[in-house]
Amino acid sequence: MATMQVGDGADALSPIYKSRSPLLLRLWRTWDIALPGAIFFAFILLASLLATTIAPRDPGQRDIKNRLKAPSLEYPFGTDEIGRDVFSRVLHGGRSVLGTGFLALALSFVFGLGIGIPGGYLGGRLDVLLMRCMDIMLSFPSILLAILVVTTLGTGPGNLIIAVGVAQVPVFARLARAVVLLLMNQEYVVAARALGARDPAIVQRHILPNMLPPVLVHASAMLAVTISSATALNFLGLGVETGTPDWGMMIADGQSLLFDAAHVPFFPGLCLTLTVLSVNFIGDGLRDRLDPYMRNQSR
Amino acid sequence: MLAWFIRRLIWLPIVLWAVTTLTFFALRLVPGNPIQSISNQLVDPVAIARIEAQWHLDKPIHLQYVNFMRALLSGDTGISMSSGVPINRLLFERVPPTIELALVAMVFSTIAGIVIGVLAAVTRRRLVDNALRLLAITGMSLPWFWVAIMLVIVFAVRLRVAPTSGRIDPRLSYEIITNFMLVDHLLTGNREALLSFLHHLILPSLAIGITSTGFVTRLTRAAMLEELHSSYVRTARGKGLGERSVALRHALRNAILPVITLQGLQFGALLGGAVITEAVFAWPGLGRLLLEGILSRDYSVVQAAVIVVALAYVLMNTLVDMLYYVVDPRLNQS
Amino acid sequence: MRKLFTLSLVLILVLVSGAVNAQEPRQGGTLVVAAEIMGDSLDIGFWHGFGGLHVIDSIGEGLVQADFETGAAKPGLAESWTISDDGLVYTFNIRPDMVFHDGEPVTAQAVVRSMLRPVATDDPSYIEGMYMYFNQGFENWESLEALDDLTVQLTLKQPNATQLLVFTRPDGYIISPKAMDEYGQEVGLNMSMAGPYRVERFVPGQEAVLAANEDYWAGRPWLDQIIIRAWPDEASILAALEAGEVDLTLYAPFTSVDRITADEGDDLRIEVGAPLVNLFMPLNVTQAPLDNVLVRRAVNHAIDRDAIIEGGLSGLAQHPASILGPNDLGFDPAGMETSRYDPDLARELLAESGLETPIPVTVTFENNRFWPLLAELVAVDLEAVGFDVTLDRLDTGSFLGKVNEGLAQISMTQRSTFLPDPHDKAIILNTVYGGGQTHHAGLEEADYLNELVDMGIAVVDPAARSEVYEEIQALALDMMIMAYLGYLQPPIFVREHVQGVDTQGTAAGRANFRNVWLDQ
Repeated sequence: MATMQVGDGADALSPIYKSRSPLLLRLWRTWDIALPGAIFFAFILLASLLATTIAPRDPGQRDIKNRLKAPSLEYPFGTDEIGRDVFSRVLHGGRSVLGTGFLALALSFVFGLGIGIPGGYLGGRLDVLLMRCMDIMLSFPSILLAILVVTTLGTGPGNLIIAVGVAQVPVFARLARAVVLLLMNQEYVVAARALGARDPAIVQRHILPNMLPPVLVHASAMLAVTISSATALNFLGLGVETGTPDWGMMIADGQSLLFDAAHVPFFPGLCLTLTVLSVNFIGDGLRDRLDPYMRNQSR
Repeated sequence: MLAWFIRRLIWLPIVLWAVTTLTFFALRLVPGNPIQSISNQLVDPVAIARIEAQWHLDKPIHLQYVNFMRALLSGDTGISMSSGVPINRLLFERVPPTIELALVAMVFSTIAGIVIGVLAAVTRRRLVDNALRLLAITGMSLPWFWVAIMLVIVFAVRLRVAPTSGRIDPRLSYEIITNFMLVDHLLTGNREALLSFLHHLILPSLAIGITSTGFVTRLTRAAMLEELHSSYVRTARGKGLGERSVALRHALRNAILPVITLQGLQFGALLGGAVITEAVFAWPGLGRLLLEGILSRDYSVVQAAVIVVALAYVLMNTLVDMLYYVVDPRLNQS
Repeated sequence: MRKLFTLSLVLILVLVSGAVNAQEPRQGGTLVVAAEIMGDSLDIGFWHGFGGLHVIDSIGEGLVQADFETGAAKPGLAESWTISDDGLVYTFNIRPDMVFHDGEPVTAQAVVRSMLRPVATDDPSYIEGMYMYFNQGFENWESLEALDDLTVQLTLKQPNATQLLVFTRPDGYIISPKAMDEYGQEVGLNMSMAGPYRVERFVPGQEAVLAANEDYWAGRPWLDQIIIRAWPDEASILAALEAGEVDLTLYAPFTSVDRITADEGDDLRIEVGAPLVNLFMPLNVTQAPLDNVLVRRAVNHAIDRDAIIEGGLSGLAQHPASILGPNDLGFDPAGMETSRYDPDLARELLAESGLETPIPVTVTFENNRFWPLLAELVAVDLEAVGFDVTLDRLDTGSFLGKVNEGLAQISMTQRSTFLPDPHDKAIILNTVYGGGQTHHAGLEEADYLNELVDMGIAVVDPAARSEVYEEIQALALDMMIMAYLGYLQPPIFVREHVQGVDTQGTAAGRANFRNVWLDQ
């Protein structure tokens, strides 16, 4: 029974049935909704990576005569205000959104851990100081931060990553600190300290490996947040350069067309929602797997 | 406990000072200033110079900062550069609607999230559990700037069951005392105005609440499952208490702590204003004040709004931490 | 038989006139107006945002009113006036028996006090920084005094052909002295003036509820109530319009114009505004490659204005000729030829310039309304003739900062007929006053152009002024310091029962609801 590593939902089933169950079903039992999430996300990722090959048209190609055409065989998602193919733009727009989301996440992850771990581990004045700095960052208006980044460094995907990533640093810092505080009370850490191990060694050997699973699970939920914030900034017109296909920008520019050519904002909106949904599916499924309590009870 | 609380509060002015200072320099670093924002109407360079001098914008930046801090410390928030209205009056107009919206959205999402989360955790039917989970994750995943306009189109334009926007029907006559409409209309016994206000509140609070409901549901479900399997619930079960009462009495009490943390922080963030939701629903909140202030480079409005946002944020954070301190003494060791 | 015929003819006439009578304005009803920004105060020294402007234009009135069609001044609070032959002394006769909304009588003394408020530092209502008043031109005033209870006399230092119309600006409206005393610096939140509507409730930044002024000198307006509310989001204005919650707006997206015009079944209609808003692109001559006049001319010929008007503005604009509009004094249509669409000529000009194509150029614009769309359309045209366009999309504050500091190359902006006098638009051609809208200070003709612009108001005789403006337009085109995109005719979205909309002033943002009535 233990060999299968599936939840107790399978306990009631005979071993024979289990071995006969198709691979997909077994994967589903193991990974739950993370499975469809991962499949769909892989699909989106692939479509975005291959956008240049798949897209029937150049996403920037304007054709005024064919503006605001409804979806058809020729234009599967219709055309926008200046006659660009919405389907091709949606394909290319995924790159900008996913790229920004991932890189902003990586940025906030690295800096967040860099601030949260020493804060939680060393504690004391340093901890208080770092946490209050995080309060300051969280209180600083994100729109002003975005304008600051965009106007001093110029519009472009790189700067959007900074604007979004910096805003999320405090979230990771707080999370990392909380996890470190919990780990500090674990027997092996207490023991290592009692035995006189040096701090960097303890962090490297005991804290980091043990904190990564919960933090990574959280990061999957945060990817949804960074994607949404990047789109929101584009929505406010503070993101990528005009003309660059981006879901947020497409939704924002298309919002006023909701009554007249709803396909223009609808398809990027749908893709954005599905992408975030699939990421959250992965996160939720992983959480149930990686969280020991959840693993014991999952039905 | 008290000492801890006081130590936290000592940091409050420091955090506020740092945020205002950062904002001060950020505002002057980005292109555009209040004079340029009005100069499409005002083209006379003599007049421009006069107004610059009056706002000390012609002075070097460090002197501007000294002037600004001096005024701030003397408690003088000044007037809006673009409208001449005292900042305090603007805050009176904008802060109560922001709190109202945040509060209602939080109450709604907390109740809905906990109910759905508990149902998902205690149900024996896997289908129900998965359906509720799916609902929660979908709620979390909807892009909030997209939800707002969709709610308007479905419920206000197509079904016409709620108004598209605004805070109250302006045709009604009503009295403003605290500018918390719930309080004011109850105080004056104005039933019609109260109903109109609540009617206008539905869609915007839904727009904000849907996302939070998803988060709360997920958290409640996870925490409930965790608690249901912890040893003392098993003990209680062993004593022969009914399954339902076990779940609610023991597990919920402990599961609620992370929910409060999440919602507390979320509330703090919402007090900073939900810019896009406020724009779509024409809700006169702090987020719009801040956004319009930033766009017109109205330095005094932005500074004041940022202080309020930071204050709300830090206070909520402190409250949440304090709650932890009170509820869970285990954490006190650190 | 003939009698019968006559009788039936009379009957028909009666019926017809009866039908006409059915179109007589009716009294009553509430008009709901959507604007994008309200502004936090109705103080005329500070007003900002079109929502606040609509409110002030509905509740206030100055000595004279503007006729946007003819460009003439009409009687307002002054029933008549005289101007001395040298153009220096203006004598206004205030209508007798008028009262402000708070019941205070409108007297010459009240008028003088209100008009001198921006310089009366000891007045309780004085606030430092009332920037809007600076448009009144009072540095050119020798004196302003009340000769008796109903006569006001203004003496100027120099003649100013546009002075009379400047009083039609919102900052020229007259405030009740009682309100100035009672509310002091917060008078903007408790405005009392003498216009056709009075403020019933003002929620700063959000909405204003106005009620008909029963004591208005020209009689009570048709509507009982006007509600003007700020809807910061274009799409939600459209949603509110579709939901039947808004009766009139200028701020719904242009992209819905075609559908609303075509759809007979809906409750909505478009009234096309007069071409009073000039959309144009200042070309910054201090920045390469635009320092080369050949490049600037190439830009001008590269733009397919038909495509821009059709594709970007739903056909709601007229072909542009110059900085002035077709209704302006001295308007010269000759510029339409100068700005004709000729991509081949544009390519030739670029070749002649000797610059290597593609020539990099940046177009800077605001991230709201139709600007991003227009910018992309302009980019198509410019790239077609040999430019490499970077689109620089900025928030309003950054945009204004960048253009004011002369850092933009090609920017996109507009100038509306805020008051119907050519000087109001031509003033930006004077490098001293150009602000962010012109960048040609380095050109050798600039000084002469400045002189011409000043002459436009120093000369009082209309015929002579007209000649000055013709020369200004020709010179500006010759210098090629801006490329005109179109005379915008803003769509006014109204519900079917809204009648009597003034398409003139409203088009310029000076919405005038005094003749609006509801057919229900």
